[in-house]
Amino acid sequence: MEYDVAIVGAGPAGLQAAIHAVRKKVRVCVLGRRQNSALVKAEIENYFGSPPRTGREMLEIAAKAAAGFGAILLEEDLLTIEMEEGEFKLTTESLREIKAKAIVLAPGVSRRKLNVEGEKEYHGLGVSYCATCDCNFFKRKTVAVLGEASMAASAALLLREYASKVYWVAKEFKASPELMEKVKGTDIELVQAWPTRIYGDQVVRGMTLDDGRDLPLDGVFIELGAKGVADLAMEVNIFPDENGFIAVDRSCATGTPGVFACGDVTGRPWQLAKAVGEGCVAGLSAARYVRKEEE
Amino acid sequence: MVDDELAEIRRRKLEALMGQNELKGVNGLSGVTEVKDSTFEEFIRSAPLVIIDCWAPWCGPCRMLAPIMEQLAEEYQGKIRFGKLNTDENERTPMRFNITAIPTMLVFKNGMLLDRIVGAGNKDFMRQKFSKYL
Repeated sequence: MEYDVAIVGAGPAGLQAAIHAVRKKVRVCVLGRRQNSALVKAEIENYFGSPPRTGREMLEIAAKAAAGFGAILLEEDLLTIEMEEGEFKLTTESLREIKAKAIVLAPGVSRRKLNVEGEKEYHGLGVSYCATCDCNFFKRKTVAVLGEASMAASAALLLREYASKVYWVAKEFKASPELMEKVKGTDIELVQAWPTRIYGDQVVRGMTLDDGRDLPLDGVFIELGAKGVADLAMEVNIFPDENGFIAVDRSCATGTPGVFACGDVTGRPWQLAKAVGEGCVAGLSAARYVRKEEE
Repeated sequence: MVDDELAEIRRRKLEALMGQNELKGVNGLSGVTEVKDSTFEEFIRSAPLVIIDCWAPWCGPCRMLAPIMEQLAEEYQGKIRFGKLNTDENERTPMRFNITAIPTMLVFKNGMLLDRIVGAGNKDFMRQKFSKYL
């Protein structure tokens, strides 16, 4: 599937970007699940010209508007972005490949840390946040992947090619049907629980689970939720700043040509009005970039 | 037979020369020097303060960090000596230091491990980390 602009994130920034880009007569798709937006749980009473209403309601209205103007909404998480000769190839959790001339990063800020005892202490000594980077250190070892979505399934499948034993630990297993099917075809063991601590000596030795079980391990891979901001950014040659935010200029352009960013991912304030404003700018800028128009 | 011996001597001399060049780095004492398992011990004792970036070619954050390390090596010239070790080609050193995530930066003071930094950040972030060792 080919689009002019692919928008990563279906929260207020991403949907507003879609509305403004698609009205500039470019082909737009939006990747992401609306229910994962931080706005879903919010009650909004400080937004310009709007009576108090739920964030969920506002998202539904915006999604309908974006689709009504012609944007394609794909309720899928993103697995990878590759840059190929000035274009972008995105692979979604259903292993669908999407090509785009410009991308808008609006993934919000996702929780990456597990916040359990031992996680910080053993980071780099068995605890990892990047399966692609670190799989090679776990040849013929026993590892666990933590996380419920497609990113965790994808990491477990990759690690199975290196480790002798892979556990996938989650309270629920919510990867795409395509990835679930792939996992079923392997000996990856699904463990329905959640860790209460990671322990070890000089390196990780195991994990205690909330059902009282103990899992002896050499490695723990933390892959929570959808793809994190840092991973997304680095795949398109952008280094997030020391607080994990992506720097943009007044047109919401990043340092990489054709890549724009908006919403919580560019930093505080984490407000609906700021997300929507930046979404508008990023959407227009991405459309202009594709149409090769001057500002 | 003599030819074989000569070839062997030539090979050893060449290896020794290459080893010296690796230790000196491309720009003499500046820049980031390629370090291997075989040159590691010598390198960490080659300056009072040495930082070695353990990386691999398939690691996105490592690739992003590489130019920043080059710039910081220039900035800290004479204060910190920088090296980089490809963990894919050199397995002994990562095993010795229990490295399981990259990039990991090993910090040595007078040849002794002082600290390790796991993960990468932008230039300001790395500068903030390195400055505390000075």
